[in-house]
Amino acid sequence: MYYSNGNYEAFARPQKPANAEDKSAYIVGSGLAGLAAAVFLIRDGQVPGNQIHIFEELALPGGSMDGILNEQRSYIIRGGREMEPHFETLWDLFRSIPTLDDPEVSVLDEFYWLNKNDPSYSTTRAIENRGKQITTDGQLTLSRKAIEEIAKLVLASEEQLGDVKINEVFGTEFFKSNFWLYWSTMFAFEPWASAVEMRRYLLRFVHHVGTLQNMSALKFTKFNQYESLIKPLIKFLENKNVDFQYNTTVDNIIVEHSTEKKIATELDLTSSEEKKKISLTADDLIFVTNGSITESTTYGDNTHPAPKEHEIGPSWNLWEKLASQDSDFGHPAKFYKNIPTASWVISTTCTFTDERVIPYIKKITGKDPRSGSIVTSGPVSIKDSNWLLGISISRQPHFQQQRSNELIVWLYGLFSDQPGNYIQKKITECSGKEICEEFLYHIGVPENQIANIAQAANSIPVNMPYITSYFMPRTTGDRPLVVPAGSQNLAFIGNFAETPRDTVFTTEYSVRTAMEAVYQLLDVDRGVPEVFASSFDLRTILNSIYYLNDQKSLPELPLNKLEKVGLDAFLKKIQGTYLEEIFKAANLI
Amino acid sequence: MKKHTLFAASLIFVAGAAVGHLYGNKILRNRHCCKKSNNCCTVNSSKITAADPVYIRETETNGHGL
Ligand SMILES: Cc1cc2nc3c(=O)[nH]c(=O)nc-3n(C[C@H](O)[C@H](O)[C@H](O)COP(=O)(O)OP(=O)(O)OC[C@H]3O[C@@H](n4cnc5c(N)ncnc54)[C@H](O)[C@@H]3O)c2cc1C
Repeated sequence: MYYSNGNYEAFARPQKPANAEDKSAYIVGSGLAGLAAAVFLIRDGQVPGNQIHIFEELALPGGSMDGILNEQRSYIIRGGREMEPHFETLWDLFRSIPTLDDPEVSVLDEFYWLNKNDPSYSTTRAIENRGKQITTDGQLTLSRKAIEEIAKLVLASEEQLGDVKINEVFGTEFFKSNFWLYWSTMFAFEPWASAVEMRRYLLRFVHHVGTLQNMSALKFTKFNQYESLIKPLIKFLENKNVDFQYNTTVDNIIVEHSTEKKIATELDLTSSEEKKKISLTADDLIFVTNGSITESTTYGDNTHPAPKEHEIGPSWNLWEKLASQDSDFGHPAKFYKNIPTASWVISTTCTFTDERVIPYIKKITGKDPRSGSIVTSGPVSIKDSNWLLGISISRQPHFQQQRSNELIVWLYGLFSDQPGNYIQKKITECSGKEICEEFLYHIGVPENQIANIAQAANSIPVNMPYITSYFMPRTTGDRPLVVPAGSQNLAFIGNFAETPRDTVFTTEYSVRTAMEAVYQLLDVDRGVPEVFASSFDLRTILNSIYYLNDQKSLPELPLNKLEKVGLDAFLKKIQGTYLEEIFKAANLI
Repeated sequence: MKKHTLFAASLIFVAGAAVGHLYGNKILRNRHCCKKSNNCCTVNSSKITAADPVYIRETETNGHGL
């Protein structure tokens, strides 16, 4: 397998790999990673669809990419996906998947046209004092010390940062900046999260530094991601006769070791309480989604909190069993045990049917949620919320079946260990109505109307005990490589498999690991599109310096005398050169 | 200077300039006044207090609550 970029490889179709028709594939998990692996096996590997088997513990596909109208409860989304143009493998996947409505239109086409016609732009990124925009909104407010800390983190190696937490590399000034408020709430970073991952994000998304405050770089699907992304994938795969086995748990995979070789020889599963074993040969390729951040999710309703009790699910159990057979298969406990209590666990989907909430949303976002356009363009963060509540309102309708009088608002709280500002309880102890009340309080609804509006709405809280697992502090070797050294037929896919440079908590990471796994195990001879290389682009780096300094040119920076002399000499030296051109283009001079 | 040496030199220069701003300051600061005087260059002037929002106060914990 090799990485590539550019159109030559992007538009090329690989030749059929040797013996592709003799291969079978067994995929653990029907989340995005598993579905993507199946598509790449068929499209790029030319493996017959009926030789691909997907095992899923749940009764429906999609994993974390949900969106459902639950008969007993209401509309539920555990999350919404912010996406960007440089999810290279993701768009490579969806260019080949037809939409449900029109076989001539790909999911990528639909997404591209939609986001051209209705681009993302946020005028209010953060509020406080019950609905008021923070006075410095739009500025990153990074001190010089904070910028130096960012640079220091970026220049450190991943080895140096093993098990280090974000709050071990940054000081108070950084945490008080709007940059941290915007960054942490947009990507769900907690202060105790992995510094390695923070570094990867800084590099991976350096091209977005200039749009952090308005989120204009983000792109969104037409409906929730289950309907807009998962359903078309399922239809494509079903049309290719892929075998889906739901309510089926993979309990163990036996891996045999000989000198320098590892080969999976047996798959143990439970399907509708019946135990089964499948014997494997080197022609049987196994793709395991190890770990899942939405496994063991519990659901509450308007009057009940989502239960806290949960079991350790099959994704962690299977990973543990694999890890016990080989140290190259990672350390699952690092990701699902000892998750800090000061973290995100709860998200809530509120469905409003009356008009009373609309003016408050309009006031904050400047947008009419009934217009059909993007409303919040990512989150609006409530700076003084004890739960650090974030509000996200997508294009309405967010579900195909949604009625015109229904408005869906998605809420999440990044801190679960504190009582709210209005509801004196931890978010984990709150019913849907109580979480909705806290939201209404923060957007400025008069207190005498709050209970009544929340009662009329239907709010469904979900408790996701592992939602922050991707970000747990980690070191090299905690996640297995996509294809561990010597593995003949076993690969790991999803956000707990290790691939260089890419960032977790993204759809792209799931698709990338799936592509890399298929290309390696099947020896597909085409480049995997590399992680977007903006961190190697001088123009982008210079531009990010301009934005990190709140749009100041180099001469406008608060430099001391000596630094000023140095800068003047430098600017003189580059006068009339190519360097002056690119510094000017980045607004630095 | 030969053409290829010139090209290489300018590449190094470009890369140096990009990070130079961030790091030059730091080096200069260490060499000069900051070692002698507290207020010469930026110091961590900010402290976290009980009046700060929770998300800022939580940065001082190990993740297991305030
Ligand atoms: C709330 C939330 C917000 C998000 N926001 C964004 C965003 O803004 N942008 C973005 O790009 N991404 C976002 N993501 C991340 C993205 O949705 C996920 O990374 C991606 O969907 C994960 O897909 P996956 O297939 O790798 O894993 P999963 O979706 O976890 O799928 C794994 C599947 O495998 C099954 N499984 C596991 N083990 C077994 C077993 N042993 N036997 C049988 N079945 C098994 C599970 O049931 C599950 O269905 C978000 C995710 C969430 C939950």
